[in-house]
Amino acid sequence: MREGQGTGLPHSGAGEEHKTGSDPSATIGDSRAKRGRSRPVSLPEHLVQRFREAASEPGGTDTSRVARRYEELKAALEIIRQGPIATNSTIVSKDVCGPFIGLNKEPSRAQSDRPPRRREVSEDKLSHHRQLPVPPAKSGDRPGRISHELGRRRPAAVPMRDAQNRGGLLPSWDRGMEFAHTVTESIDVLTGIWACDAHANGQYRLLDFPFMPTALPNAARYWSTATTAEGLDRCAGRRIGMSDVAAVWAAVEVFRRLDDRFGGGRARITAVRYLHGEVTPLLKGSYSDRVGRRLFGAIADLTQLVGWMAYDVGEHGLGQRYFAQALRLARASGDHVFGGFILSRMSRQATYLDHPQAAVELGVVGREGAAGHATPTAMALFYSVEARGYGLLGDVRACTAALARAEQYLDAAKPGDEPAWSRFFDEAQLSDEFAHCFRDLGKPREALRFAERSLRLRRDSYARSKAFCHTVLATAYLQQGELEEACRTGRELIREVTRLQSVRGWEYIRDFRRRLAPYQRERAVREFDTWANARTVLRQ
Amino acid sequence: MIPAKEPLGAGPDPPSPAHENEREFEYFYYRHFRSLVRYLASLSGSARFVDDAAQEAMLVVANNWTMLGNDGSRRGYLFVTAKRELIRMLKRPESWCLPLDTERHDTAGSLNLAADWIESNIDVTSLLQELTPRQREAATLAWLCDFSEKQIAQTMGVKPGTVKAHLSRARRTLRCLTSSPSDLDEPGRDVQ
Repeated sequence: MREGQGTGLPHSGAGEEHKTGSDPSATIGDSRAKRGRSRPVSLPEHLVQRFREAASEPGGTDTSRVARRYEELKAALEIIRQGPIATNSTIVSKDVCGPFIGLNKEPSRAQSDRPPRRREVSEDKLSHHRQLPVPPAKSGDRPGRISHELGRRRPAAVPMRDAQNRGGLLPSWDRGMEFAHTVTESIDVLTGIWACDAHANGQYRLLDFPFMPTALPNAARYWSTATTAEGLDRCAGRRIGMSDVAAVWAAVEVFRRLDDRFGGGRARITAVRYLHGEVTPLLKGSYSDRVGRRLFGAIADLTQLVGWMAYDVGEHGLGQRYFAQALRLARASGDHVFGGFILSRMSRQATYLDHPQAAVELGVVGREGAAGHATPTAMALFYSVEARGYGLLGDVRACTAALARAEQYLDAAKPGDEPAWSRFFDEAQLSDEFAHCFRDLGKPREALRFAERSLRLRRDSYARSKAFCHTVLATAYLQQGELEEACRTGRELIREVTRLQSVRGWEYIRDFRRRLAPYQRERAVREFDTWANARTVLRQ
Repeated sequence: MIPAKEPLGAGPDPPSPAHENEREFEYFYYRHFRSLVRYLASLSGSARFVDDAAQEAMLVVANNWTMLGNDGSRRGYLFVTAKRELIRMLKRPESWCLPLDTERHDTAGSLNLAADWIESNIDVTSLLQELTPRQREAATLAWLCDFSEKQIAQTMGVKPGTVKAHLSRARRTLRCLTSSPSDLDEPGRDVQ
């Protein structure tokens, strides 16, 4: 079907059309030819034919897809004509077509008297991202905005899968949270996240996405129902061998050491760029099933590490997405124990963000999935994260039982047989877990004992863990009423955190200072506040 | 004077102006959406953001429907708006963040009309990419969207003579690209 026949008047002058315009075979330049300056030029017949075919619709009269597009547009129009949607941070539809439909004008009296429609926002004590139920309306948000609007308001009207593939930048909230059905889809999702994150250059578009507590049970459910192994052999692009996999493992080790020693902020961007620049081509290359499993295992480890770094710098939504995708890769690689470890990371994040029930669930699912395959250290780690969740819930019996099991398993561990990712879990770390649990259970004496033990045993390469342990120690002193000691430990904590790039560290400092607030009149606390303000004013 | 109320069952109520506008817009949409997608895909040589830009432009036209007057004006406005929207989208820094092959993935069964059109007309889009941007735009509007020279001139904001020149040079370039050496030597042909 040729379109535009007889439409005539785009601006004026219907019927004055020059016939040569719409016909590729037409010869032009006749007048110039008469003047001897040029000769007529025409296209070869086969090219003329090809252009005519290209101008016709390949689907003939099949307009179903255009019809679906039209339905999508109609729904968007309806939403926009309902007026701006007030949220706690932005007006959503104003950015779409505000200048054309008058949304930039001041609201009428009737509109301004009406209470704004707000989404329910769950407040959490540590995550400020959670207070943003929609992404901030920046000018760059337009691609995919229609689908985003529709997906949020009318889930049935928009195929989100299509929206994700349209090149629209992260149009849906659960972008990155999905567990792709096939490995190929998983690679697409993961490489897309790496690409966006690596090129963000400080304008963290991905960071606008909030932590989603409701997605935590999904991860547990996904892992507990994942059964069959997948074939990973792939034939496309350059050949990938074990040397490539070894290079990824080496990179993982380097980034892990950097993270442990200097905090997540120091190496996160470098790690993401490594994933985007070096690892993406590996994923899209050719490899056998055996190499593919090793490769996916290594990449899963690096991805969870980047997620851990994001969590450490307070980007919880981003961290959660990295963990979810790492879990998907771990499933593809068939490493159930490592999958359990990722769930333990998610559990730790849930504990930090005050979701103890989800933390326990994730810990239990991870442990049960790995049972029978996991090394003693890994099992001790799984029990310890479970105990942290119980500690936050205040369940003394379950917490101490899980800690006891963790201790038993760690006693049975044989150094050297452990996977690289579990080597950090030693006696010092277990003591640290004990201390955290007892602090949460309101048992300062035990917390103090285990925190001191942990600090005594802890190696210097785990500077961040040492700093966090100082928090527990300071809090335990405070709970016992020893203000002088608490403030002295608090000073040590601030000195250590200022050497790190860890938002979690600063959150711990804030937490400790909040606990100190009731004792503001005491001399030791006043001196500590003066000292701390001078050192933290730029960071708080 | 108040007209007498018609008795029930006298016939269907006449359509309201809003309803009429909606019907007109629907007709307009079905008539021009695909040619708009062709135009944008051909201009950029990629499916990236094409469908989004086309939808956004349609949205703008829908919101200014009565103001735009007749069908021809609406079509001209639609194409100009869509082009500007696409350029704006492609200029944004975050558009560089996407993998280049994003538009190639999983288009089967999806709504991405531009990707499908490029897929089935890759030879045509490749040829058009050999032209200068102005020639490409003129050629696309003329040969793929069925615009007249006058309409092209008004859409591009140039004189009809300039459009003629662009089309002539486009033909010459395409002829050079697709002809064998023997054709080029043929007497009486100016292919340069």
